Amino acid sequence: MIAPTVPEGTLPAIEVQHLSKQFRVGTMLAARQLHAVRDVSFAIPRGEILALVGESGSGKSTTARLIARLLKPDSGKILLSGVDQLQREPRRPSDAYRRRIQMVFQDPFSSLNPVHSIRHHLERPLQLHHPGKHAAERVVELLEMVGLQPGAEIADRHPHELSGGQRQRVAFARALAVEPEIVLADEPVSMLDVSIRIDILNLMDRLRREQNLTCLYITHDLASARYISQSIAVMYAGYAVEYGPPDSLLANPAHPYSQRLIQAVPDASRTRQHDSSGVRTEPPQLVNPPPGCPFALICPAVMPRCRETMPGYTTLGGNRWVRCHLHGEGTASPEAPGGE
Amino acid sequence: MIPGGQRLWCDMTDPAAVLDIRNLKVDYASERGIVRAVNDVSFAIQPGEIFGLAGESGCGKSTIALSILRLLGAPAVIRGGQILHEGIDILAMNDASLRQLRWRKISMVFQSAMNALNPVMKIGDQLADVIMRHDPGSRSEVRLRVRELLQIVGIDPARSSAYPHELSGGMRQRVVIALSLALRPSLIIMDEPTTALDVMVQREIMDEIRRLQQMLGFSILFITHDMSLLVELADRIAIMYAGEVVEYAPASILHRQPAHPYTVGLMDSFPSLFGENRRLAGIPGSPPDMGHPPAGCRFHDRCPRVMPRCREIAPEWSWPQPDHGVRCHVYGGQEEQA
Repeated sequence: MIAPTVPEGTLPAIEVQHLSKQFRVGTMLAARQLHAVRDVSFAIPRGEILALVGESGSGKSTTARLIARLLKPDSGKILLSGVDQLQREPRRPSDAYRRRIQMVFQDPFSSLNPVHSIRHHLERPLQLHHPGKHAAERVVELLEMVGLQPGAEIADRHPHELSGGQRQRVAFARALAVEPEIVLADEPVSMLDVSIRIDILNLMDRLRREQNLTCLYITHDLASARYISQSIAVMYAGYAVEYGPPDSLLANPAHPYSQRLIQAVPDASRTRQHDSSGVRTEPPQLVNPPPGCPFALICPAVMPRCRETMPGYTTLGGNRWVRCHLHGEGTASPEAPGGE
Repeated sequence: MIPGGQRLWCDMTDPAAVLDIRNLKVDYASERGIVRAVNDVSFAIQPGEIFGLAGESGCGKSTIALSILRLLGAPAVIRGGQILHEGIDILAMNDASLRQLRWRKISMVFQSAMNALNPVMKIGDQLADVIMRHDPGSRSEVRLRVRELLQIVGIDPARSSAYPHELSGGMRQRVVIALSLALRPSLIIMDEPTTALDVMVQREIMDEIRRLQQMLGFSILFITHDMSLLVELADRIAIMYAGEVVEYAPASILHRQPAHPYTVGLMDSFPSLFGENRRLAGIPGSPPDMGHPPAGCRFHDRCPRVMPRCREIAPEWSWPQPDHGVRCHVYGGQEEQA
């Protein structure tokens, strides 16, 4: 276990180890490899939210798709309650797996079918996964659980009759219909109006508390990550580079990338800064990347070995780890003794 | 009677203002009837000022931006008001005067740099094109000006032969900013210029905008829904809701003491990175259907401090401080205070 987040004797709801995925890009003759997710490991204890934070292209959405098994990982493990699901169901995931892990997507305008009623959207998964149950009652129950009242009336509406925030609530109700253990929420609020976003975040928080839901919250917004999560993993160029509890990580980021990311966030409570650092942002090279740490290209603290090897995981105490040569050799590994 | 404070915000006789919008009204004709997208909006922008216009999508802020440059097409119709630039009403200008105004006096940076640039034209040529069209000079003069502009926004002039797709999102937005600076305007309208960018690139562009503004002294009308960004950047801010300005204040006051319940809710919709991680309430409900705006105060059905008269009477301006205006019954109203 890298992330000793879990009290001894209990298994995390989900753990991924060394997850990797490459995509082939370019023409047939000049095929190149795009390294989307590289050696990503983390664990989420049951009933907690882990925020996977990063910029576009950092691999956070691909990580969610690998876990949902919409994409096939090149290597690595996905453990649910300690059992490696890729080994158990190597070809394709079973219905049971899909029941255990559900996904909520970014765009509530395209993720619902405009010709079907809300009732239809919720009855389908119920019929597929729990045939014979009282679907009609369950639909109303689900809608009211996500704060859509009166559920019986909302159920007969169509997506276009609902606001963006209401649609995203329906998306959560649909995900919850099959009673999943884990919900992967991929930027669920970024398309919503500002005043609605907090509602949806508060909903996720309530579902976690009341339903003991485990959640992977994917976002580019550090402030919202802090608002609802129990832990944050920062991704850069396909790697998870830092992990820890939100307050400690944000107040004291260990990785130079996390430091720059946090500094870049506009924050009204900070005084107006006039010191433009002058540091330029270069997007990392994901196609046929050079060896070593991808941040070495623009890292203010770069050392020769950063260009040679990617650092391993270094535990920092306080339930944190970082992948950076500044913090030692990085000898901790998912197999190393930690929380298990 | 115009109260003392309002002078700062919109005084028709103030010749110093770079832009003075007075009682602007814009309608959209839809199949369901007339939608009033901008209702009686007034504000003035001073030289060298960064003026923020904030609100959620659909509140009318982009419609105002397009009105200023007379870029609104059907089904939008400007129903009333004035937009004064150096004392002359833009809404009454003929085509020749408009050509003199656009780019040269007032330019604009749009949200999506990818769509604002011509994909099949080298960036240097796009800059040269704007300069040639408005300010013809010799070929070498224009080339020199292009180099200068690229340098100003931090792009190596050697890259002037690059096509937009060869540049990163941040670089493209720099090119768009260079375009807006090409003819040395006194006002640049920036409509969500960093919304499509990653946070680190956003920071880079914001620093660049601030640096250029301090160096060249132009004014900015900065439009966004991101209050954290705006409070950091702007000098003064106007908050819009459902087509109307509901509050004006200097950024620091808006941050510390927002007055209008909508502004309070908006500020309470952004979690903070530091400090106490308190529960936020946001704003209940959704923005109104602009085809049928609520009677009285347009915010009343979402307002936690709603009173009976809010449902019937649209509030007048109150001025808690000379430079802080709010349109809300909670703060009385000029007549009642007098």
